[in-house]
Amino acid sequence: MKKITLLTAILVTGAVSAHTAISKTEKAKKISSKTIKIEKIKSVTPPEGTWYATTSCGVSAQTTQPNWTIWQVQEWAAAIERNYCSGKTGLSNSSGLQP
Amino acid sequence: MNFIKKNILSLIFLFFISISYSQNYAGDSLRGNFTYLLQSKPNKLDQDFVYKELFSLQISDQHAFFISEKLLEYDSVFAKEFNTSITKSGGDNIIDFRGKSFPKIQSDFVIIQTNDIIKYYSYVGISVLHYNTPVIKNWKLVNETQIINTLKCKKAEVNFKGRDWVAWYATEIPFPYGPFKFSGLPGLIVKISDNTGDYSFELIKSTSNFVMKGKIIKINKSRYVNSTLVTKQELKKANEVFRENLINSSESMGVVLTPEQKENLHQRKKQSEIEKKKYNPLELED
Repeated sequence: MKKITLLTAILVTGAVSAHTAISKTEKAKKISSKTIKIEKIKSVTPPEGTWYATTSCGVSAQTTQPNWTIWQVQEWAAAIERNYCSGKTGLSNSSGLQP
Repeated sequence: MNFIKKNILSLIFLFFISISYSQNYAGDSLRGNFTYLLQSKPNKLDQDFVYKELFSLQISDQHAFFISEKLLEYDSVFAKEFNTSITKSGGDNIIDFRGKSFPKIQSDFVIIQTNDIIKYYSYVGISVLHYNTPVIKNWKLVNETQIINTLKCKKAEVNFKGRDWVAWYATEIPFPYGPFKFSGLPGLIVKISDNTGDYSFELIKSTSNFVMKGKIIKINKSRYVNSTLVTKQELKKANEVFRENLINSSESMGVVLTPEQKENLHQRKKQSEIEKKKYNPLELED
């Protein structure tokens, strides 16, 4: 049971890391547009800012992760698409190979 | 000038996206590439329903990867669509998959076989979990042969997770691997079925050595790297807990659900309870 709790904690922590405090966004917006422009030009990493995603089945999500790589963004978008729009039917219509 | 800067930025952005795409896949050289057809009866209450799905067994020097062909297609389509679905608006980035179509997947797991151990990987939420099972050691080799798809095959029997299985393997293809978690025979498993007729795998396609030359294993690495080792029961439980709490965990993933979407998830949860009772899995025991 302890392990299950730990697992749930890991999952939730992973998920929580995708969520960013809105205050960060607000602070970011206060920075002048000029500063943002300079940062963008200097930046070699993928663009900073808030990420908005809409899945193929219309579920919306948003996160602000300045330190995320594009790979992490892809993982986040993939997780939302997978969890909310997979179109998976029930177990009795599946391959039967899942535990 | 601004126009040029904007275009340079877009090019840098696309460059990083294309790098991320190319890093998705394992780089092991491909030594064998086989396709199996699974035929199963996963519904206890409807024995007339036969589920069919194609699975790929990709073999490298050290491992064999068993994965649904639909899942391979899904990952490939997703990576491409991701690249074309990003637009920028002010300082924000928008990913819009509306109007996009992704292959429907049922078997979203990867099994990696080695000589010693079988690893089963699956996403739960945004984390990858895996559990290990030992390679089957108690095969009973039977002195019978049969020609299957022009291959001379030998017979072997085993009881695996509550079902009795008959396997036919080809020593002329000297890979000790096979579909799902079936491995450990002195040749590739060409056909395997359980005695109830509920489950069978049959080799239906293989790639010639000439075509494989220079090719590498093409499986999305994120499906198995940085995973957490758990037991099979823990993975099963974690998946159930996540599914049951999908609405609550949506907020932590940054997801905003409409009342209609919440209702759909409630319905899905109710349905999954009924599904569990009808389920006739391949593995009857843990």
